[in-house]
Amino acid sequence: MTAEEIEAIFPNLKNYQITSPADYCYNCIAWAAGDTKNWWQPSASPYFFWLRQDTSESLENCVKTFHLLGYKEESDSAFEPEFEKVALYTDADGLPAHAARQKENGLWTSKLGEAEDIEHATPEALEGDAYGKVIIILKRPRI
Amino acid sequence: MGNNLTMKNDDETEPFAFVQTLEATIKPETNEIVLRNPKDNRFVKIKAAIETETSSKPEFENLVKVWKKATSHFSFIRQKIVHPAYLRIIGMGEKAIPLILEELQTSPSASWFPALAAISGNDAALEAKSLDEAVQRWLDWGKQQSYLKL
Repeated sequence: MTAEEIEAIFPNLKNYQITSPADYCYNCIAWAAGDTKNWWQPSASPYFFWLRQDTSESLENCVKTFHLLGYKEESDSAFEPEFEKVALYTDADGLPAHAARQKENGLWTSKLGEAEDIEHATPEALEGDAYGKVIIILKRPRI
Repeated sequence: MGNNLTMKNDDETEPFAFVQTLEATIKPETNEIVLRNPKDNRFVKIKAAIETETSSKPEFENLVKVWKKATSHFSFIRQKIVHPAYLRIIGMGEKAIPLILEELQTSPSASWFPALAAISGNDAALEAKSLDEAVQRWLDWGKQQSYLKL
């Protein structure tokens, strides 16, 4: 996507930068989990990747998946250098719509679907019609 | 020279072998494919099929453009396949299959699998273990079904 297209979709997004080319092989959940080789999505199709047997596209399923990755404690978006945080977003129907991960520098990183990765200042910067709202932030000790 | 009415197969027990002997010439200026029998120079012109394809392509490309702009930032396939432009592509039916496969070839995306499955009634990627493999299986299927050139 062009910068203009990104800014049109995310009107609250300021002071961001595009940090990767587009790549159809991984999505935001994969990127939040640190994987750039698989498209993470609950599905019965074996070409999608998911850590759990549950194929429902529910927030609970996403939260439990990140629990398996060690993100067990609820938190807020404040930067804590010793912790790695992920923010999960839900749309107006309460279904998972996006995930973002906080980097070591305190900024957040997001994969925009099949499009580019971006670095942004806060998880709230991506809130809006496209991704809905941040519904939960989880953290784990930074390795 | 020839006639443009019919082309009789000399050996009707081997229709495919006969077809393979024909020489095909594409004439974009008249939207025609001319199939010629080199044995006797008789030929037949096929026009309607090309007209259908060429008239579908601009509509398809416009729908893809609209759909990508609206959904490429989504990370769940469910969000992508409910867009009206995507549903319109499915509504185009079989004539959309070669266009989708060409798009899949140049711009791979898992988003095209539901449309291909919905239109064709097949799931060529059923056993694929990765997205790359799933894309390749659909392209191979398209070639086997003559939707794509070999």
